[in-house]
Amino acid sequence: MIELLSNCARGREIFTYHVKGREGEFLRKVSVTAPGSTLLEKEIAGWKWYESRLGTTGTGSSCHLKRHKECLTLDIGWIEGKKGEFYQGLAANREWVRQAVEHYCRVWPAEAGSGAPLHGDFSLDNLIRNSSGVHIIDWEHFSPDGGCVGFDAVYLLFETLWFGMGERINLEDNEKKIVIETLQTLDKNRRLAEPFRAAPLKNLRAFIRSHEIFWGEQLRVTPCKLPVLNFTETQTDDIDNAIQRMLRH
Amino acid sequence: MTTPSSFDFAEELTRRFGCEEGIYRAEPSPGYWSNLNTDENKELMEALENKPAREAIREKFPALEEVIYSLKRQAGLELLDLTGEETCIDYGCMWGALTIPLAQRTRFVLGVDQTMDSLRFLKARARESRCDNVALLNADLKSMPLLSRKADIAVVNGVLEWIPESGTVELKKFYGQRTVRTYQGNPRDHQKSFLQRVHENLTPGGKLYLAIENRYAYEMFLGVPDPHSNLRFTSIAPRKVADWISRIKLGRAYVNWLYSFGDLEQLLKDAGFSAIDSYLCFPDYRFPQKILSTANSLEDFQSALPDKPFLKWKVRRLLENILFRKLKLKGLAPSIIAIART
Repeated sequence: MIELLSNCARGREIFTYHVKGREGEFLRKVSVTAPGSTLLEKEIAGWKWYESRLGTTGTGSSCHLKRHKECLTLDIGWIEGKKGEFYQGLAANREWVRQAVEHYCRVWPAEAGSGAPLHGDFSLDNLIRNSSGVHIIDWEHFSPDGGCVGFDAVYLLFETLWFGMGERINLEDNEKKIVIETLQTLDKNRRLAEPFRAAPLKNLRAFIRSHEIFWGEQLRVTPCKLPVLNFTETQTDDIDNAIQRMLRH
Repeated sequence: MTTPSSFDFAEELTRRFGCEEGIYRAEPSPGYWSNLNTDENKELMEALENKPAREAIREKFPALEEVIYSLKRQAGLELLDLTGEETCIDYGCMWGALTIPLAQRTRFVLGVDQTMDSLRFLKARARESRCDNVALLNADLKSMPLLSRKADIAVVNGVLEWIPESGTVELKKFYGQRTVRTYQGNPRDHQKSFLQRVHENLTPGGKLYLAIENRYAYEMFLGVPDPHSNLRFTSIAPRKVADWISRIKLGRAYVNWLYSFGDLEQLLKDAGFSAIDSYLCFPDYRFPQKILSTANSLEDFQSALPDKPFLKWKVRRLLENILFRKLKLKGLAPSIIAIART
């Protein structure tokens, strides 16, 4: 049985299917274009890196890439579980964010400065939680280097925040608390690069804007699909200032 | 345009049919069905003489570019579980929305259409896409020739409901317009005969991909016009009532018959197909966003309609989530895709 789950979602030239058959249960991604195939090649590199960090490569990879004619197909072992409801915002997803950041600290190396691996779309929508823990999916923007330690976790934090803020300008107290908790966890685990200590949101946005190489078409054509870029400059400064005040206390 | 690997097919086509401008032509002389009027098609053909196909359509009829070239149109082909070695026939291929993607995934595709200008466009498009494994046949689908070389795959995409039509259909002059026409026979009988011929042209174990609007799509109950006649409620009304409405409003019988999931399966069985898998298709089969098995519990169903900040869209999304996730009313899905085997 093959079902179509999404069709060129978010401007990506990829078809996504759920496949159940004699060979098992898979998430299948198919592309017939060069831009889509590039994303799938990044995705398999991401999965392989992730599996190597988790130490599961010895058990055989859960991903297989095959090409026939102009059609590139990536089958990824199906992960049953629940996804976070990112659109409900930070307060409603406190536990989710905590577990995601813990998982991030476990997977990513504690390196300082640039050169860190990058997921590139570390959103609650790309995390699955089940009895065996948290699983990161959708590695289409993966880069083995060029990232910044803590980037993905900080991205998750502010993207979830953005979805819950709606028309509001200021952070609520519980949101501030979660932001501080998260940044402190990353810092304590040496997974927070210097720019994200001083002005996390401003520097997160600056990093995205200055790295078209990772987000390509999405950044050029639909930057609004990267939610953290939807904060206004004033909001960004206000949020960073509020964080700094909290940290000083 | 054909390759040595498709020689069997090409040999039969060359032997049995005349060839004009690299397109095989069957007798009797077919009719005409196109979104474009004959004079518009003439304009497009002139543009094709000195422009690539995509550029010509963009310049002359920009609204059609997405319809013809959108990547999204081919998403359903994965249901066929292709190996890359298949030979295929795309019935009613028009401008090649599925012919070209099929050619990029399989060994050989025969595109069949009754409108010569559509095939001229597709021929140019295939050449520009470097698809040298495509052959084109200009034929009336109602009198589709029986081929001795059988195909592994048949595609009938948005075509079955048009089979009972005959003569010239210039869609802009037809859709919702009063045009007195006479028809012979029962629409279902025409559709069944066509499907029987599709079946006969397939290898044992060959697969049919059939996509069509659902007769009982929930939108039809809300008064959304039938996409073939532009009449409200004709799809869901009893056939005789629909016929009566169509004769009064459009001066012609109601022949563009759609089917429910069960009735479509029965029609396919009557035409000789077996092992039929039906799928719910959202928001429609042309640009599918979700294709779900009828066995899906719909527990995680989420509307595939665009999340636009307008009340109309919000209400429709909400309605879909209630109808399908909460009430599991699978029979009201907008479109149906059926994969059937010989």
